[in-house]
Amino acid sequence: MDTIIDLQSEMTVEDVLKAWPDAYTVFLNGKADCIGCFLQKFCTLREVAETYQVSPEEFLDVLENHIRTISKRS
Amino acid sequence: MAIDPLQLRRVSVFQNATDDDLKLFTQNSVERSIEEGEFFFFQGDSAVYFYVLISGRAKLMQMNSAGQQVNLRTINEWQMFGALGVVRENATYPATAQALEHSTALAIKSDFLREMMQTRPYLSFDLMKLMTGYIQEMQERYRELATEKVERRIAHAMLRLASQMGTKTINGDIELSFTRQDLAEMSGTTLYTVSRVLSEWEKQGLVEAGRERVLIRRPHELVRISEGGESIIG
Repeated sequence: MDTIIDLQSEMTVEDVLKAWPDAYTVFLNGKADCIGCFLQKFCTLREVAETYQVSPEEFLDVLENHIRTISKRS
Repeated sequence: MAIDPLQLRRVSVFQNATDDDLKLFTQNSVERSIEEGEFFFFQGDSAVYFYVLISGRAKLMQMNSAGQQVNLRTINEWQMFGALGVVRENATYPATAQALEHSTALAIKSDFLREMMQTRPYLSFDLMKLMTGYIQEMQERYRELATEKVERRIAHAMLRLASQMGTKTINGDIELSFTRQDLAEMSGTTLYTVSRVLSEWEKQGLVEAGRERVLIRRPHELVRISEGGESIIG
């Protein structure tokens, strides 16, 4: 059975990394400055997508697929 | 204001404490209310008590013999401060703690926590985590002072302040309150330079700077400057 991953665009980077620490690679691969940033608790996924000029839906999809792959492996 | 002992679990050093231990800490504490601008303790006082801030906000600052003052950090609710006496007997406080607004803290004898630590490894471990966090932060600040351009240092100091005490507004800006003097001390520069840099950033639309309040309008740009990205000031 697939793990339920309830990613929302208004979740902050901190929320995501707390829930799924392995998601950090998505930010790193996307060359985002979020890992180690002081503002993790303020920035939502929607804002990250806007900042890096990608569509929020696409960003959430990539993130969700990554988390799902990692969850299946463990 | 009586506090529920279990609320003390919000203090990082007590996060793994048993309910009974939390009750012991509360029973052995004294509540102290301090008005804005008044002091919990002064640099050089005997560090008999450590404190847990339960409401309000305080700052820790150090002064040199010439009277120059440096702000070390801001203390928010459920943070422990003044705990040097726990690990070092007969210690004195290395900094002064001043209330930034009306604040209440629990004062607990440093000796008491030291005795508890003898039989509770979780306390030593969690206190060590707090201390190593502080050391790491100070190392970063030292590196910034030694190597980074002033704009980067100011951006870093503002982001650090934002992470400690910022709030997000309904428009998505990050609001924080501090004086320009505070920012100058944290960045190792002068009031004049802070004002110059802030007004330049204001012109660029990065921030909106009031007297004791700053709105970060474009947080990501500030992160870029703090990371050594292109400086917008010549």
